[in-house]
Amino acid sequence: MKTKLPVTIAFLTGLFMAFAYFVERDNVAWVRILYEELNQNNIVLAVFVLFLGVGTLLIRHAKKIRDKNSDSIYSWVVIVSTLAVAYIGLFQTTGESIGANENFQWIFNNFQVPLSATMFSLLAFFVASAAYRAFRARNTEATLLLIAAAIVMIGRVPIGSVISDSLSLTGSFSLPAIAEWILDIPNTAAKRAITIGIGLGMTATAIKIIFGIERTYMGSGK
Amino acid sequence: MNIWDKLSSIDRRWIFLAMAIFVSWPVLKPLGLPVTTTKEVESLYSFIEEIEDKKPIILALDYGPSTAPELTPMAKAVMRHAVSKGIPVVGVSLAPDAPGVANDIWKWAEEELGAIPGEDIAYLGYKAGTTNVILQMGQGISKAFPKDYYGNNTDDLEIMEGFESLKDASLVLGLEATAIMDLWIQYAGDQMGVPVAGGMTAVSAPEAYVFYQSGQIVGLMGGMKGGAEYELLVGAPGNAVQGMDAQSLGHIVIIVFIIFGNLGFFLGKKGQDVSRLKSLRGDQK
Repeated sequence: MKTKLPVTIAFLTGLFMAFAYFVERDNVAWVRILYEELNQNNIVLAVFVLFLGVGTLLIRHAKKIRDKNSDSIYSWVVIVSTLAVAYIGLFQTTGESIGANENFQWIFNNFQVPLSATMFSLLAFFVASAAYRAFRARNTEATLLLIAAAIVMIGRVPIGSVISDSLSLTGSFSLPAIAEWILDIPNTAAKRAITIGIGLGMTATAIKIIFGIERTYMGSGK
Repeated sequence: MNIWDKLSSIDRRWIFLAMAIFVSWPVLKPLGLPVTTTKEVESLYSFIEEIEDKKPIILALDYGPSTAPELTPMAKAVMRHAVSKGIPVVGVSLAPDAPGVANDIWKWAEEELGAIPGEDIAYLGYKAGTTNVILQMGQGISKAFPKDYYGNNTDDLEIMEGFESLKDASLVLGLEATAIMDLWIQYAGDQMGVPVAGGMTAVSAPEAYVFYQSGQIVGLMGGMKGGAEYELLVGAPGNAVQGMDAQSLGHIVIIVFIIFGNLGFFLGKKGQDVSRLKSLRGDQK
């Protein structure tokens, strides 16, 4: 029963959602109602996943504090900031919306914005350092990658036009035009192949789940 | 250690210093490098220019503060264009850290563009569930978002008159730092038939070219350059145009160091050792 029930639910819902995709739902009332209901339930599940995420985060860090881990100071920061933001969001917005809560926006603008901006800005430095150490023309493939990357990096920024003009590279031979060609042709060809491959893989996995061949989502691995 | 060996083993702190100097310099003293427009951005501009029935544009702000410098100029430039043409803009978010960013953009639109909340613009906030939220918007906007981000009943907003479901939108513009763009294309575009366009970070944009070529998206803005192009097309250069000088020099710094690394690799002792090893292997064969 423990196995049969989830497999049956997966089979029925999977088959129905695939069927509903190809049916004019507005013309078939029962399909439309069931489809809307399943959609709504999925959104409710997504909200529970958020709760699960926050709960797991808090439990994990509480354990670190209990075990007197050497980095437990950071766990305190995580727990205190999570609870503080949750308190402001939950209890200081009574009778109004989160959008009208100035404290919430203040925390966002003065904590999350500078912290996220700092983390992302550091990428510029680490990308430069990593590119210097890793981008070596060791073989033909690496050389092609190196040349394509350099052209796209230069061709996609204004200095690409300036360099092209100074070298009298015009029309299709200008750096921006070559960068555009790389993005339009080789990049698109590779991406399309990957996308179609992923699509076929997803379809195969979905079919296996619907027909109960793939059952690892139940956790047993059998 | 000769000069070539030194070139292949530069202390990374020199790279950090060079990057800091060359990115900061044009911010303090702009170079005014010319920004040219591309067909992907021009086609988005033309599409919005040709919207005549004043159906709303859905602006999907699915990004947080880390990618705001790339994507917020796009949001502002498109809002400026839409508001100037009298096209309503309705914002939604499928990323949890997006509402804080969106709130600032909506306040900017009120102050800078004189847009009237509820009439010209509306922001409905964030909802968890990505795919299912898009599908639910197809069943009815107020089903997915009964209230806007500021607590007003969505159905009571003037902007919502005649705008019952996602299918009534003139365009969905996804400003994305993640793979949510694919979902807008699959469900809003392919399933519901709503025109979709993208504004993506420079890292993600190459993935969307395939959808532009197939006609599944009507336009594409890639990275800060895409935002700068749109700012120029609407005749209001802003943060993205200013940022292009810094980005240009940042890219030049990276390429110069890559060249240094390769010179050191091929002409230095280490590189010569590698080629000697390769030739020895060749001799053995």
